[in-house]
Formats: sequence, C-alpha cells, structure tokens
Amino acid sequence: MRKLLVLLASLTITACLCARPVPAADSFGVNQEILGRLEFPAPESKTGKKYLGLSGGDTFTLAQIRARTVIVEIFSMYCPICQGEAPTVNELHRLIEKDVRLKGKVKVVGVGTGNTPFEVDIFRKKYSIRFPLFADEKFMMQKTSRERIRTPTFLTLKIEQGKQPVVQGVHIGKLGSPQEFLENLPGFSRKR
Amino acid sequence: MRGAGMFTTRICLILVLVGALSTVGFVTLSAGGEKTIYDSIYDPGKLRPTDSRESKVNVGDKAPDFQLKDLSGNTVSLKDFLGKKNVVLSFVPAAWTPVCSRQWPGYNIAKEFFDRNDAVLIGITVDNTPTLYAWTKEMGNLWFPVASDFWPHGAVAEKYGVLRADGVSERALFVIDKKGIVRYIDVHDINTMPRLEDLVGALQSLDK
Repeated sequence: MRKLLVLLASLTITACLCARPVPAADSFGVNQEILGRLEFPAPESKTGKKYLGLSGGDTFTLAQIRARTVIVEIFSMYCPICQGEAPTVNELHRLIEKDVRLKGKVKVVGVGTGNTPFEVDIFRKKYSIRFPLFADEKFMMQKTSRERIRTPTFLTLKIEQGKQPVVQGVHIGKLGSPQEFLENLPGFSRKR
Repeated sequence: MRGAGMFTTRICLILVLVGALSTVGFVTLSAGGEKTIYDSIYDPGKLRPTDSRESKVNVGDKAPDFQLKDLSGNTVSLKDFLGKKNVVLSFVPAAWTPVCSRQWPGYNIAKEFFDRNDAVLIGITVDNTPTLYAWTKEMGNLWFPVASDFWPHGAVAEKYGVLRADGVSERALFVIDKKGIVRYIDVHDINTMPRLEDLVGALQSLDK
C-alpha cells in the first residue's frame, strides 16, 4: 500500500512538473517574447499617435509605447461580453486620464482579435471608445498563448524602452470595478 | 517503525491530493471568474468547410419563399418583404457552437448598415425553439428575428441548398432584393466568420 502511494506520489509530482513546462519567456501563460515581437499598425489619427507616444513608422511594438504600464484589452467586436464591458473599459480609461498619478504613465489599448479594421471601427463608434483599438485579423494574439484566448482578456504589461514587455497580470472575463482594478495595478497600487 | 511508515503514507496521500487539486485548480483558474456564454459552448473541432450536396439557389434566381416561426411565435415569411425591404438571411450551423455564438452579436451592433440599405435581417438555424431561445438570450437583446428551421428538419436550409450532410446548415448569407431576387450568396467556411464588410458591400451595391 505504502509503496503504491509512494509510486503514485512520485508519478503525480513528475506529471505536475512535466505537464506544463514553463519556458522562461512565459509569464501568466503568455509568451512574452512573441508578445514583444508583435507589430501593430500605427494609429492613423494624430491623437492616437500622441497618446501612445509614437514618433513615426507604419508599425510599432508594445515596448515602443511611451508608458510604464500598458493595459491591453483583447476583445472581439463579435463578443457579447466585450460589448457589455465596453462602458466599463471606457470608465477605466477615463479614470486613468483624470488621475495625475496614472495619466501618461498608464495607457490602454484594445486589440480586436479576429476582427477586420472595418469591424473594429464599428465597435469603436458604437461605444465611443477614446483609446486606440487595433484589428488583429490573423489572430496573431493567439500565438502568445497555448490556451485558447477568451475575450475579453486584459493583460497588464510593464514597459521599459528597449526591453520586452513583462506580463504582470492576466485578467480573463469581465473587468469588475475599474477603481478596484486600478487600486491593484502592479506598480501603482495604493495598497500596502 | 510503524509510526514512520504511517507518516510517509500520509505525506504521500497529501502529495497525491495536492497534485490532483492543483491540476483541477489550474483548469478552473484559466477558465476565468464568472460563468459566461463561453462556458456553455460545445467545440465541435475543425469541420469540413462546406458540406451541402448541391447549390440549389444561384445569384439572379428568385429566392424560394418560406414561412418559419420566430422566437416570439410570429410567422416570418419572405414574401411579406416583397417590394418593401431587402432581406438578409443568415443561416448559422448550430446553437452553442464557437463561431455561431458570435456572429449574431456582431450583427447586433451593426444595425445601422442594414437600416441604411433598407434591409432586414433574419437569423435561421435548424435548432428547435427552446434551444434557440436559451442561446440567443445569452447574446443580449437582438434587434432581428431569429427563426427555427427545426421541423420539417432543415426544410428551408434544404430549399436554399445549404443543409449539410449531418443535418446542420452551412454558415451561409443570402442577400435578397425587394423584387425577391437573390443578389449575393456567401456559403462560408463553417469554421470562420464572414467579414462584415463583405456583407455590407453586397448591401450597398443593391441600389445601383
């Protein structure tokens, strides 16, 4: 009996260790190397470019955004939960912009995964979204995760110029209270 | 000795339990907090892109008329729109499946494109009414009627040549003009979402 349990225990431990090999690039199940390499089309609008602090170029990577923290909402125009969450994410963006501690340091972007630019535009207009949204027609976001990405998913990224972004948090599903989300934001938390 | 043996046994038991629980825990965590429509989605895997036997309706043909009950119990009849509205028929394969569960919520926030082109949208699946009711309720309030083509099973899908061999329909769009003529057909790869601009483009070309 005991031998059997010893065997079972060692098998379980081995299984746990082997089942999910975590490469150094991974944080919260997101491959940061792939994430850091993703290229997004630079926003056409001046306000969009200014918000992200981009100087030029047709494309940009997340690490080029002028910010300490970037919150990436992975959404789909077709996703009813994302539609329902749009006012909450707008509120999150508004709270950041009116908070001197956060404004300029924390930026929000949305990636419409599987969406065409046309479809992302419908979403932007429907919910009057003020932060930049990008279309990810080829599902490139999915390459950053072995799990099927569900929408909405919120990534909190630590940004340092010239380095790959560091994933500090992944929130799947509804955002909840934007105030609380910001209170718990890594690097800006008021909680001790 | 016996005491030590018991101890090892217990440690092992705990390890086995912890191992089992952490595996379960990971699955639960990665599924996110609250229950959503996606928790109820059945994933059929990758399917043959299209699988209906023949194309019975072509662009330029008169659209076959049909009567189906929508979820409010009203009869949806194609001929009611003759001379009044352009009609978009959106067949989706099945309730509670991945792509289908998103297609109509997308159309739900694109009403203006239908209005602008004087078009109505009718959603059709071969599911029965209670299933369709429960499923579409998860999508929020849809502005367009959803009709059940359950019995005789898939009869309308069959008329339009989009009933697949396994009894669900293709993911298909038909645009029918006010004269009742089919102007656009997209029998789409069942695994992927038709681009909305393609449908909007078809609606915009109706006036010319």
